[in-house]
Amino acid sequence: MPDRALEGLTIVEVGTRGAASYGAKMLADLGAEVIKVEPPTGDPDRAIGPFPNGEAHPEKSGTYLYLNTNKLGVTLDIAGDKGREVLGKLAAKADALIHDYPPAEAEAAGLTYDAIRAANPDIVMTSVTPFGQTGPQKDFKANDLTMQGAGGWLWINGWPGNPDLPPLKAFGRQPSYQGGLNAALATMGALYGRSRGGPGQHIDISIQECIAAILEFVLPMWSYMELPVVRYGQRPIHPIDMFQCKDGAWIFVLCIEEPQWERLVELMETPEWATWEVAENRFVRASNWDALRPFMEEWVSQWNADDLYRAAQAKRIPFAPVSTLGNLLDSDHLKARGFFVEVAHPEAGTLTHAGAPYKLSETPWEIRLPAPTLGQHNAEVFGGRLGLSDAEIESLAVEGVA
Amino acid sequence: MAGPLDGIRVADFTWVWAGPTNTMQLAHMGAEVIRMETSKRICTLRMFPPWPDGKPGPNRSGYFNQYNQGKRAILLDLTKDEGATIARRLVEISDVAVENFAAGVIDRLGFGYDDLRRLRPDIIMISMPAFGSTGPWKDFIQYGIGQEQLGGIASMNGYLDDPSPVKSGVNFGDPVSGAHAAAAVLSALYRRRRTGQGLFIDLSQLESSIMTIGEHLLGFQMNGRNPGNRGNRHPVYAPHGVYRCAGDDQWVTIAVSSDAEWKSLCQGMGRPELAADARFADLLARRKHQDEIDEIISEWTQDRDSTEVMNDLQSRGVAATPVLKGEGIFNDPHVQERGLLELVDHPAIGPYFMPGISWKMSETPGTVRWPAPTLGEHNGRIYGDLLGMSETAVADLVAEGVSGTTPDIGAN
Repeated sequence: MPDRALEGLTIVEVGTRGAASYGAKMLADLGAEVIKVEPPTGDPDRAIGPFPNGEAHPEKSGTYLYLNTNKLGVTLDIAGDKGREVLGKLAAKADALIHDYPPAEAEAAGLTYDAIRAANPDIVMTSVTPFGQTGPQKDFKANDLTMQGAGGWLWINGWPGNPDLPPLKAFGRQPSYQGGLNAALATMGALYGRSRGGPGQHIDISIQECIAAILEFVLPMWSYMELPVVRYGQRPIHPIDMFQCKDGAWIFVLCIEEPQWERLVELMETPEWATWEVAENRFVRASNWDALRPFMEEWVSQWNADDLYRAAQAKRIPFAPVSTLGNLLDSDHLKARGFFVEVAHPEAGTLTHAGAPYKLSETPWEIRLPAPTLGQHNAEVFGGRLGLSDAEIESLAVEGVA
Repeated sequence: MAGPLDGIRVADFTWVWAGPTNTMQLAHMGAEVIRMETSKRICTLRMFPPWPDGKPGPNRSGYFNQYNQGKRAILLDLTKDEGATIARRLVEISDVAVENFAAGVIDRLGFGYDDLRRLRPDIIMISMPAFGSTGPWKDFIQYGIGQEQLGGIASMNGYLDDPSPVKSGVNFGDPVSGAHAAAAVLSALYRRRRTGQGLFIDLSQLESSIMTIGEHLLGFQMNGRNPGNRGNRHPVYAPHGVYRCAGDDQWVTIAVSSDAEWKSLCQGMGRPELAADARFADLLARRKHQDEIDEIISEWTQDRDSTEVMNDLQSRGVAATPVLKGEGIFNDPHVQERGLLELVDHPAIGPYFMPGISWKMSETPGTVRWPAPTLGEHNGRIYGDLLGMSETAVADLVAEGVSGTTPDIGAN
């Protein structure tokens, strides 16, 4: 059996909104044993699609299936005493616990650091929530749209050149992924410290801060120059733009360094417009992009996207296709890298998953298990790991605790 | 108490943004991160704005200064024999080596994994090129700015019913790679405690970005199509959007995910009768009549302050936030109380507030230990104290162009 990087590590995850689930998935895919605790009604992500034919089904949610590979799944109602007792037993045998209940909800569910620490004084507990454990907004309701707004990201997104259009949210559940990434790296940092004799501790992650910390130069721009970075302003250099090709696909046209532009002019066979003074360097081109853009657009429209991509890359010009999901799944490059893996799920069938974005030379990741069905591992975990008897497990079920 | 990575040393070959966001996390956890830079090709980020008073300079960039807090920097030309020798000495005493050059560059420089492993058998090395270290596209060029497009995200990012892809205002492909990289490095360090072994991590920036839409790859297989551009709407819930408020370019986000929240929103808007309106009675109905609902909400928000809207709706249990600008983050009472922004006194430009650390550990809190390094700031400390070179030996390095003198970092 191949060595796994995080072999021997046990993590309990109580995730309901994506962030804790993704952070725990990263560690599960690297070989940690992750026990995911869901309420008996299931992780709310089971109700989030995509679904086959758009028909909701708790075992066929694309979001749930993707975020919960390699985990053992148990159901437990941790709002009640009996459930909390079992959670305490799980925590006692775990190295870390990752969850995403905001403070008031965590308190109501007994998911406080004090409670978990009582079961396991050395545990590393990571709370990843929209606004963190402290502060006037710590219990505010949130989702990915509102977190992009609060994080300072949303205001600078949108169509440049049109201030009447509202800011546009970045596609997907990006804040939840940022929270998950920070949860994974901070948890591993603390566990590494603990493995060298350091303490268990509580990690407090505010997704708002995760976003605010990655806004490129937006915050320093305000701090140093009291200037806002605006979404409808002009870019500092050009070309940085997207155009539609002959075959309907889109392509990202980019030149960062001047020699790249010069090679692009060659590829375009030195059209007259590219020799005008207003095109002579990347800053001047930016100031005049409204005038130059139609020429670029027309030239691109003569090409099929893949041909143009390869022609540009052959001259070391950093164009990129605007890939569709289908393009990604068909990509020779991604297939050659072994990025995709087929995962067979008892109810959802076999689907091709994105794997992990890194390959560790001694400890290759693998998707050993699909996402668990609801309560799939109750017997294995409560019985096998916690030593509860069959009768005890059955009474948990009968009482609605599990 | 010392940070979790206290005593760990990182040989930092990175530049621009993706690599430095990785090593920044390690620095915040207490590692000694040593950046090797050359004045012949100054790190792109050092040349980016903002600069105080608009005056550029390699030690004045707010962009560089934010993402390189708590690191050390030396001037070193790796392409010269003596420079390479010194870099090899640094690797010998480092636990981790990080680079984000284009695939193949680090090998040509003589610092590929096999090279490093000979110097230090248990080294953990990570490469972070755009397409990964292998595969048919590995020699193509790309930067963090191109990852949303390559990674499928841009094809689903646009205004409702407008087919044009829209790029995000932040090149978030870079920090997404940086964060995945930090998690992988920390996992490898953890494994090293158990096995005593290092390893090589081949990270792909493209694949890191794809991870943020993994569920949609499954959706494509289920339904055979890319989701069309949906603007700020949600695939399931309504209402869900961005609404104009009073003031210049001020907006609020509102997201309703249940009938109860819809009722609360109606009460908040002073329109309780809408909760009983058949057009909006349940989720399906609200999705169908979303245009009408959005108009009603806009009429209510357009003369109101976005923070007031947030407080009103949050008090009723409805998710809402103002769409904050950079200035808004600085002035936000919640952000201030939690202390994300730290006052960092930089030798070249003086004290400015900077975002600090995006996680808080209760026993070993990360802090911004010191500002981002000026060019060659730690030449003396690293060449002299750490590597034990004499002043003459260091002067020779400068004379031969292997290192450089620290540029004047006075009040200018």
